[in-house]
Amino acid sequence: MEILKVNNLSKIYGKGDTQIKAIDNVSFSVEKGEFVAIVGSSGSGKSTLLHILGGVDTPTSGQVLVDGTDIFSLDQTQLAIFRRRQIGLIYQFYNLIPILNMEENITLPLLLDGRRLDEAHLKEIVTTLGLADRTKHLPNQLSGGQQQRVSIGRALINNPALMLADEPTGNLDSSNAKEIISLLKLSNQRYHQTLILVTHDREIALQADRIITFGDGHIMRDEVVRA
Amino acid sequence: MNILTTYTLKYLRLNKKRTAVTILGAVLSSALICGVLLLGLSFQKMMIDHEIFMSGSWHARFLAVPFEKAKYITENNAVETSMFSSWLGNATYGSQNTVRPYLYITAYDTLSFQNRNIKLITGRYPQNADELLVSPVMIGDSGLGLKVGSTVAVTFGQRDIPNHDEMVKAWGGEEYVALADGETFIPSVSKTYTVVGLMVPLADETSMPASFPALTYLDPAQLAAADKMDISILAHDPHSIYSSAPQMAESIGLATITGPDGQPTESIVYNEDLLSWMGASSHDNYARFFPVILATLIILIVCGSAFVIYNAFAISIGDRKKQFGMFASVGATSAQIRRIVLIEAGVIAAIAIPLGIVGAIIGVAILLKLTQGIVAQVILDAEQGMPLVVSPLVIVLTVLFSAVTIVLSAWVPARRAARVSPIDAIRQSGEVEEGKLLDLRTNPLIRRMFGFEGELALKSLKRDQKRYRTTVLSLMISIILFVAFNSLTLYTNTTQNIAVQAMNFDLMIDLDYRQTHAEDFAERVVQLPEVQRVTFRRSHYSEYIPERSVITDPAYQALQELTSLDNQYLPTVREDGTYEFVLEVNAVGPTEFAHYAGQLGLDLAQYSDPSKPLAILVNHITLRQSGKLYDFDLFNLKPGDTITANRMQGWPSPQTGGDAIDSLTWTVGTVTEETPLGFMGMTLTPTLFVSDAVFDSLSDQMVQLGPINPGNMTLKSDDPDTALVAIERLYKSTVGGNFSYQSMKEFNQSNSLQTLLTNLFFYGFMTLITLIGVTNIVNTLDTSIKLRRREFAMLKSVGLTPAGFRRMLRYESLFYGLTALLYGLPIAIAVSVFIYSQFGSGVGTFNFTLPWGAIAACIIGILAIVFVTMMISGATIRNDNIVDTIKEQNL
Repeated sequence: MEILKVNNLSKIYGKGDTQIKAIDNVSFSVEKGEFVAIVGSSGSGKSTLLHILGGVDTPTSGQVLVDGTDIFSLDQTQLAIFRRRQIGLIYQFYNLIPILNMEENITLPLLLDGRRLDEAHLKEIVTTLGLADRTKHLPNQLSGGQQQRVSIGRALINNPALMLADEPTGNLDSSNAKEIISLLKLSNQRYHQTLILVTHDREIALQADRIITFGDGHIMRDEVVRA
Repeated sequence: MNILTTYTLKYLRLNKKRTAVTILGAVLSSALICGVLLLGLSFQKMMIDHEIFMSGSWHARFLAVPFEKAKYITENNAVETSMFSSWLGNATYGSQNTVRPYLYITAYDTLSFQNRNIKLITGRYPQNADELLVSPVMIGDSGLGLKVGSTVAVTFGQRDIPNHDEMVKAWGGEEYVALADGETFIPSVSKTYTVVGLMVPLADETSMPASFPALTYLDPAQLAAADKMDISILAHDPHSIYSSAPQMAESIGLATITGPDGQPTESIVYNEDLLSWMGASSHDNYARFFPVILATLIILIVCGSAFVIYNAFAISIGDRKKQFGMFASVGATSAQIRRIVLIEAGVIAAIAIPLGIVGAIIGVAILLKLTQGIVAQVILDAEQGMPLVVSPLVIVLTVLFSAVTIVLSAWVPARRAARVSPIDAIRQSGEVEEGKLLDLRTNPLIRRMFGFEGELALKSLKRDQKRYRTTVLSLMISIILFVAFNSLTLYTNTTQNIAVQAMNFDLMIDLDYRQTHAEDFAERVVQLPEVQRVTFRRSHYSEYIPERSVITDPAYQALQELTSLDNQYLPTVREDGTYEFVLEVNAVGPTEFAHYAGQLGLDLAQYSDPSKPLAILVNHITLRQSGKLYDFDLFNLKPGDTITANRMQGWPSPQTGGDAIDSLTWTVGTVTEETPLGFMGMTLTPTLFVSDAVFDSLSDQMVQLGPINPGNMTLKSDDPDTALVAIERLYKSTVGGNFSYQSMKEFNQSNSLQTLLTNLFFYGFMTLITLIGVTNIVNTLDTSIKLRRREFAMLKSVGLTPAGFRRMLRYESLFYGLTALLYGLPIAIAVSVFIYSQFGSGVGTFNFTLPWGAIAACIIGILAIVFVTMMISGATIRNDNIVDTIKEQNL
């Protein structure tokens, strides 16, 4: 079942001579439960693509359908609600709220939705992420790896349709990086999350089911690695 | 608790310094609003009490109401209390005072005694129609040895005054007409009263030259249907008295009555002064502007505070832009993000407003306690000073204004926070928006004069135009308010000082020359060793209509301009374009006139010849009206020219025997700008000075043209206190009766106290407003440093030394301060010019000046505040670890 469909997506910065086409008329789709890696060199537009898929950036033209919903036909409020329920975003630089503790950062999308916390679900996620003894810690009391796990937990808490990770290991050492990728794969397998991961690391990309190679705003190659 | 509230409270707790500064700004704002309201209401209460003390507690008085119709007033729904009074008539009582032989007897009911300004010295109020309340002055003057318990036989009757109707019309009431030559008394009914109490002389007492007021009891049960009386009322709603009272009057056919001058007049009298202070008067007067002044002050505070609080929230939002973007990326709606800021505003308000109110109450209570003595000396009946009035209205209005200020100040930043896009959280770039072109070029001179650090400082300011403008505007507002308030204080003090300096005498004694022994008293005062100079002023008023050629061109020009303004001193313009002046002719007493003539180098004998009445003309006018200075000679008259005085309009036909005259010609002996003792500045009334011999010899003729006012005595003394004691003793042993005086020493003291009081309030207000401004500036500058931590770390990492860092901050301080002063001072001076133009209307002028001391203090203060703030903030980040700061990953 198709969970994501991108139609003729473009993102252009600037005008005239200084115009930059970060994404140039890109179209593709992703099936539910797929683990897709988007690779490319620095400045190829892959992060821009991921941000547009997550609804945190707007395209110049084109369509993004997530689970059948054209996300850019929604107004700002609807898009925000859609994002908190259907999209889980993980960034390279964690982007945690510094004054909320670990548990609050993880449950933030849930709390914004005004929904009651499922303690068992939270415990499962926290335990899976290896953070059970750190729930009341503030971000500055956690290591880089721990902080990134918190951001994964935040992305997972609402069982979103789509998990988008932008260079999640870019700021971590190799040991932590391996652990993070393992966790992401676990969530993909255990919860059948559709995972799209942007990376410049070929080794990480090879752990995905499918690799889309991005360059100069285009899809250069789209290959299934694992059926 | 909701996650947004949790986040907000945590943020406030973790940023204690910034939270404290914001709360401080809000506390100051609430305290100022509450303080202004408290002072306003306290002042209003004091003035209401003062007016009640002076004129009694009543709102309106219906005159000459037939008793049978009284119930239509007393039982009206609009009336809370009604009081009856009735004038019983004039009566003789065997007094030895031949100038004031009558009693002016009025009857009051119980409520009138309670509510009108009748203060007992001893005894009690009359409780029946056979009892009388009188003043000690009457007792002393009567020579009858009366005291409480004495009986006094009175005979009611009619004063038979020659030319009665004209005299009554001229003086505005029979009770104001002095005992006239040829006057007789037509007795009617006799009655015996018992004196049951002594009262403080009524306010009316000094204006009744022929009688002493006395009060007896009015028993409504004794009144017949046709008996007429006055009904004073207190209305339930004083604000509607001007509509309810006429309705009541009309309902009983009381539309107008005939006044003492024979003209129809309103049958209702209003206690204007009291109603004004209650905010219920429809007339244009000082009290009506009182709520306007209060409202203006509160608007100033709200605007100033709103700016400060807005800035605090704007800084807070700017600081958390990434966090808000993160909230948005995680799915927070715009409304939820907006709510974060508004919750913050609510928390600030919940803490600051009660603190501000409590602070204001304590502060104002202390201020009123400190000024109690001063106030009591300025307003004699306010012995306890100004009362502190803490009404629910004050609290409600403070909460309302403060809450509105805080919420409105947070509203725009809240909307801005809600508009932060998620991508702002993801991008690691600084405050410059991508793709936004900024002109950060600087003049090469800057680097040459201030070095690279100076250039960096200037680029830093140019980069964030919004913050730069906000900071400079904060500084400018502080500068303008500070200088403007100092100008206002300076001009107020100067005006008061001019009024004081214009008084060229030490004591002024009220002296009615018609009284027995007045001349004897006057002659003996001259001989007192404590007295250096004495003026016995008698003034005669008549009409003067000069030819156009006599009026100087500047004077004529001024009269054209001033005619369009409402000024009681203006001559009246006639249909043919000429002007009717009031001519004042003065006698100043032989000694003072001799001194005056000597000063002017005149031959005294020439001016003392009644057969050729020579006069000294004071001709020069200096006054300021609506900011324009008028300085000119009034007439083109020189020695030898004549001035023809005519009968004043409405002045009755000849009062004395002999041939009637319609005019009197004065010859100008000399023209001067100097005046004798006791004359202060000239208005548009041409003034002549003549010798007493001339004045006495012509007084029979003068009195046919206009009134001769009994005048007063002014004197100079090196020891006014001792002189006053001696003069009062002399007065009591000669003239006797009520000794009334004005002492310049006491006036100066009162003036100084008023100035002190005014300054206290001005400076107090100014200090708090300045404090709000300073809070704002400190907050803005401190945050601007903190937000650039990473940038400073990067500069240090490439080699900026600590000294270079300090230099950069110093130059930033200088650029902020100088820009604010360059814009703020001219505006402040313009505001001062405007304030000056509203001052100095009438006699007494001062040239435009600026509060230079305050301006210098302002320049130093602004530069110091900016410099110190940036240095302290810079010091706190100077020791930041470079790498840790650059690597700071989270939001």
